[in-house]
Parts: sequence; structure tokens; C-alpha cells
Amino acid sequence: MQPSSFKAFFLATIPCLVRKFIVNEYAVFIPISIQSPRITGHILALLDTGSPFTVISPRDLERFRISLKTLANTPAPTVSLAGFKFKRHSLGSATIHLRDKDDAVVSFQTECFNMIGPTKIDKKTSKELQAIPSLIGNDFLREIRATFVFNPSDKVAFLEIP
Amino acid sequence: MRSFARDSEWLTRHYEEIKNSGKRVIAIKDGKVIHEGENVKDVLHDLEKQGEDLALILIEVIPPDDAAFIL
Repeated sequence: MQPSSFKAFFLATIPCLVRKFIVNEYAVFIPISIQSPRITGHILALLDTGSPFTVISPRDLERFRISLKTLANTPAPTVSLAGFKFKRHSLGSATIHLRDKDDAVVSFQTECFNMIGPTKIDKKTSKELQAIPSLIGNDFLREIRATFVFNPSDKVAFLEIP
Repeated sequence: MRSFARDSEWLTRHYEEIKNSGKRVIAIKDGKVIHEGENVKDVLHDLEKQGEDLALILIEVIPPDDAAFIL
């Protein structure tokens, strides 16, 4: 296959941001805009192909004024992340906007996004949790049929979307 | 969306110097650190008092050097 015909297969290239994160290792981030009945705003999410779920972290939920206490007290499946236990609540239907390499906005309708609130809320836990970012997991990447390219040596990462 | 993406790019370019400055929690708007603090709650509280729309601002937490966790 010629490189040019391969390129034509994709409708959008979404550039990602590569920078140091935990233990000075490089990680991939992607700015996202969310529109849903409960949340409207922006997040900078870590692209985590090891995560089966796409989640909005407690620190972003606090920014959107979603009560972590209410999430903790409402029945929901539990999920472990970074050694902590969270309740995972579906955000429901949401429109997600990404920015492509030409600065155009690419939009998707999805039900993949989840809100996660810690099962235990105290001052110490809150401080430790604040380093955990929102995550784009495999569920969303699969749903939008994205191909993920990451070269940590050259600090290049992008999504190709058909 | 575009201004948030630009602020995210700005953070990526300046991450090392922000980290080395010892800042813990920062708020970025229009390519500038507009507020900083020790925890997210306090930063959000202060920004709200300044009349900022929290949903549109980039808040980043710089993990300490000894922080290590697997997501």
C-alpha cells in the first residue's frame, strides 16, 4: 500500500501532547471538550491504553461542581485505580469534541465517559487523589475506531480516526 | 475548545520549568499561570471568588518527585 493511499483512509488526525508525568516518564495527554446534561467544559485527559474505562477524575469533577460525596453515597460499581477504590457512575450520553491537526473540531456522541468518586473521602485521601488525571481508556478509542501512534523517544503522539 | 487546547500546549512546553519552580497546583488561562496553590480545593475556591469559569480553565497538579503509582 502506498503511504498516500494509507493516509487517505483516515478522516482526522488528532495531535496529542507528550510530556513528563509520574517518575519523569513521558505520558500522552489530549485536550477534550465535553457537553452533557451534567457536565459542560474542558478536561486534559491522559491517554491510557491500559485502562478499560474512560473516566473523569475527582479533581476535574470538583471543577465541574459534581459532589464527590453524592457519588460516594450513590450505589455504583466499584473500580480500582492507582491503589484507590472509586465508585464508577456513567455520565450518560455526551458529545465529545477533539481538535484535529488543522485546528478543526471533530465531534463524537458517546456513552463511554464515567465519573469516578472515591469510596472514602477524607482530607488525606483528597490530597493524594488530586494527582490522578482524567483518563481516556480503550472503550472510547475502540468506539471512535482510533489508531493510536506514540513515539516517546521523539515525543510524538497522535490519533488517526477513520 | 481552541483556547483550552492552546493552554494545554503551553503547559506541555513549560512543564519542566513549572515543575522546577516547585509549584504544586496551577491554573492556566490564555498562556499564563493565573493562580497557584497547595491543593485543588483552595485553588478552585480562589478562582471562583475571582469570577472565573472553572469548567473552562486548565487546572493541573504537578505530582511530587516521590509520587509513583500505576494507573
